Amino acid sequence: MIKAVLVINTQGKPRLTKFYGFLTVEKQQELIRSVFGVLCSRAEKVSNFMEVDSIFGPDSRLVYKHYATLYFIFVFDSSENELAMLDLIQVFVETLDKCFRNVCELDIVFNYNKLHSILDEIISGGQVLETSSTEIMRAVEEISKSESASNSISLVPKTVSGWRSR
Amino acid sequence: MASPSLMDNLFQRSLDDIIKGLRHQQSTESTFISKVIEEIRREIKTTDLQTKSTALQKLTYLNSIHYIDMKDLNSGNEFEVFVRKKAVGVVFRLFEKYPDAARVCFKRLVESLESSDSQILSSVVGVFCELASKDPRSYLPLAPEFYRILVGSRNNWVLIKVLKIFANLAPLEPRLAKRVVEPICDHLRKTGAKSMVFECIRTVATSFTEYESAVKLAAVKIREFLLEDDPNLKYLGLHGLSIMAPKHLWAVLENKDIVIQSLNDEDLNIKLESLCLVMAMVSESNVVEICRVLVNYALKSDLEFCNEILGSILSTCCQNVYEIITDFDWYVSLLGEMSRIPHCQKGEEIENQLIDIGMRVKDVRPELVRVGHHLLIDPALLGNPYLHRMLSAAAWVCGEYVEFSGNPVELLEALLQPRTSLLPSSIRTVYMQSAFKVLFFCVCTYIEQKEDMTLEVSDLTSKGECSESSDLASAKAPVECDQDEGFNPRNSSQSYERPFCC
Repeated sequence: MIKAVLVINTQGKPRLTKFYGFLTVEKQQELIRSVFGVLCSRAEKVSNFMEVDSIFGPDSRLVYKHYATLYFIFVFDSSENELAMLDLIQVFVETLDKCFRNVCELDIVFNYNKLHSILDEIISGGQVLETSSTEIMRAVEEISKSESASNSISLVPKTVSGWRSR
Repeated sequence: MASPSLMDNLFQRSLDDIIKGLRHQQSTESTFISKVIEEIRREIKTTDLQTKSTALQKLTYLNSIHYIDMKDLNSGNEFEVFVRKKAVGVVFRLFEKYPDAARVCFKRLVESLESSDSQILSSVVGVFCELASKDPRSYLPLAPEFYRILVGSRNNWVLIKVLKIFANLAPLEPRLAKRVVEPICDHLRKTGAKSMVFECIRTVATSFTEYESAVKLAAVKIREFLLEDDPNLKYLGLHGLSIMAPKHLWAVLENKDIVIQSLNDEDLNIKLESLCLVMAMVSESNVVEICRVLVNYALKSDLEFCNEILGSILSTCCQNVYEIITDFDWYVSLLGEMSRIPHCQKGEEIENQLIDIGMRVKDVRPELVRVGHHLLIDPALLGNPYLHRMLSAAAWVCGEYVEFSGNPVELLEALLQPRTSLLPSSIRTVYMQSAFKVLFFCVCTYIEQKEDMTLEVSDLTSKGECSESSDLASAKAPVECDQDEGFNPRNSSQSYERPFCC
């Protein structure tokens, strides 16, 4: 299973952190700091793997990819294949690119919700759901369509908060 | 529980509502959550897609933060693909916590294995992969299903998971292994995807090690990875070799040149993997050569890798009480050399080994004392804090085995030199104790010689068996002097500890 998905910028600021397992906030921050500490000392043309047993515990692997000002990081265990995980990062980034047209860090900062929906279509509960960028885009478009559709029906809102806000 | 009211049916709580609700409930969290679960249970059975999705979304969220007790999750009517995939994902988390639930939903999951939809198949196979890694025996009966997928599927994600499942199942059932090894080799030969190649290699190297032809094929593919420029493939090739190493060292030896070359790579991961492989190749016959090569690399490396190398040498050589060392004189001088490498931070381990060897191997004591003496007389070394532990060992060894020293007086002067004030007090203690031992030895030798001389004068026929030198100033002690003769209180190695140590 996948243990965590992190997107951290080159200054060490986390832009997306998703942990698929219960961890306290302090523990999460500690993990992010440790990962960044090792990551920023990596040279450019080296492999995309990192030894993280000391950070995430035994049977943990990490792959990362550096795109412009962001590091995309997947942490997983022995039930996943390393090269397949690298591919999945690629799929994630490609989907973001399709979604935002030449995606950059600012897009990610200001469209936090969308980022999470896209990620949730790819990985749920630590399990990979979808590996095709087109399929993910289709799902995300469907979601936004139905969201905008439900917004237009204001007669009987389906959610309590929708009801309260009237 | 009261039947659901109109209110409950009309208004479904969204994920946001749940989160807000949770935040407000400090004390009655569990009741709130159980209420939410009840709602979800009902909602998930509906046919309305939106309701179902929201229910799942809430469930996934809750699952990741709180313990959930869920049983009716896998309702049969979920044919909508998006929802079903997510349900499968959530189901796995629940199985982790409640293995009994696995039995309840098992049938549905197994049915999903026959699904023609590759996305559903992917999810289900993923779940089985996780389950099989924790409890392989229970999933052995499903082997025929997985076999069918192994030979029939063209989807690499699914195939990779199935390979992992077989890696767990094959060791339990040799007949299964026999049937499965051919399709795996087939994939290995034909696939174009590097991820598949690597997974096949890993599966063969982990669970099919008795099948020579499969292992040979895997070794060929590993070599292809090693020759690639892509550092990821190179790293995985080395990793594959290290999985093979325990049972098939020949594969590592075949690629010896590439492995040693990789010690120079700019990628730390690759360097570390090759270091492990080099240590795997060490044996009695080549330990000297390999250590020489490694120490040369250590001199050229940065701090971190240098110490990795030294650490590996130290731990491999001391395994099974120095099993692979035949020439301890060489090893002791190697230890001395290692401690003088500028980046060396392994002083403590070197100290321990020097003392350990001194106590175990009598024949090496003269060499040990010689090396120690050499270190102690050099005043420059006292200023280097990384060498202090080494000096401590040298001092102890020279004090303990002073009878092997060629020049005890020089040794004594070295132990008492003014620059020893730079040492921390724990090490100065060792220096002082050793100084006493050396002094005591010198005094004893002097008195023995005096006695011998008076004896010689009074009795021309020499009685002393011990061939003492008549040069009193240098006080040379014979190396093979019988310990119990004459005025020599050194009957047990503990003798010096008693009067001076308190």
